[in-house]
Amino acid sequence: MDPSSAEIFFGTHGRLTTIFLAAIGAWQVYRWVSRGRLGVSYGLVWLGVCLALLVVAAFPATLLWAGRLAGTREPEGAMRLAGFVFVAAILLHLSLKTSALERRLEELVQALALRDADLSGTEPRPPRPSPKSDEV
Amino acid sequence: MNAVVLIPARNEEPTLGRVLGLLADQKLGLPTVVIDDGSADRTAELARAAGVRVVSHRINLGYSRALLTGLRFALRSGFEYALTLDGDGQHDPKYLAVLIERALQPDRPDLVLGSRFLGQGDYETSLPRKVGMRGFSLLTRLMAGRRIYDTTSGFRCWARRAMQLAVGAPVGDLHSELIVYGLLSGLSVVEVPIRVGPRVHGRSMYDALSSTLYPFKTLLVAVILSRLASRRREVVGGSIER
Repeated sequence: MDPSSAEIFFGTHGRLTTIFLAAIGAWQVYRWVSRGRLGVSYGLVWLGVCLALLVVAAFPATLLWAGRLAGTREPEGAMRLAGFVFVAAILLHLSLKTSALERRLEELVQALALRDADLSGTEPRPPRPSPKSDEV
Repeated sequence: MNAVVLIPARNEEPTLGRVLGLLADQKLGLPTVVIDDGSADRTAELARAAGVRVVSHRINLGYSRALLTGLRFALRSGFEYALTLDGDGQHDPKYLAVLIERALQPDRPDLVLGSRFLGQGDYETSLPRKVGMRGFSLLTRLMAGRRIYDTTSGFRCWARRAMQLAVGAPVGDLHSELIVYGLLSGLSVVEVPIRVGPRVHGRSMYDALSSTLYPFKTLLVAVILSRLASRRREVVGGSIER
């Protein structure tokens, strides 16, 4: 497939739509980062995705090179592969992050509970006999 | 015996008073700590009213995490043993004496489990849970070469080494996973028969689906842990190995 066939595959309408969506996406990511709703590192990742989409839309031949590099026969295959790898990588990364956060949250809650117990200053004691136990 | 009684509890207002009352009746004289796992009811108040120490999670972390907080408390307070029982009224505190007696025998096991399936073994539960429990038991035998009849019992006596292992273990579950990990790490685990009453309040943490799927999850975790455990055994050598 030569560069012109790549342009047939990725027509003007598709390219304009991709550029529009990438621009909107980049703007939205910028707003989220500036308002503190999205971390800078994640913002950079998503800006990178928008940039990649812009490059592909502006220069469809890059799809062919990417396809050859990835060993796919068609540009669509390269896009699918890139999309799949990206989503899998993001999910794996987020799973690691979530696990780390979960662990830290547990440690924090346990540390707080033990600190509160220390602050109460009383020694653990056996339970007092209760009339309730005789009723059972 | 330098021991503490740990009771993880979440929303156990209807039963905790009775459990603490029965515990007091045993006249064991053991300090008691209720680990309130983010209860929405008066569990913590009730425990304080009974005169025991309360360690409160500000949010619910689950049974194993609550137990772990209790074990951490026991370790830093210098207790040699921790006796654990559930706050839902299924465990009769009169069997604590059985756990203590076994823990103090000359072989000094690291972990004594109160087993519902030894002795008379008249514990009744649903079929999926029975299948799950048998699955855990079989799994323990396959992974660790030892048959443990009741791997999900929360009625236990932990020696200090078992507590240390639990606190440092890379497992999310202190039931089957910890037992497999403990056995593979060289911990000595024994069982004593106990009788358990029917649940009078709340729901089991294992529903039908999780009871059936849980052994498979544990199997996966155990396979991963077996390598870690053997490495740990090499590192700690005689201190854990018996």
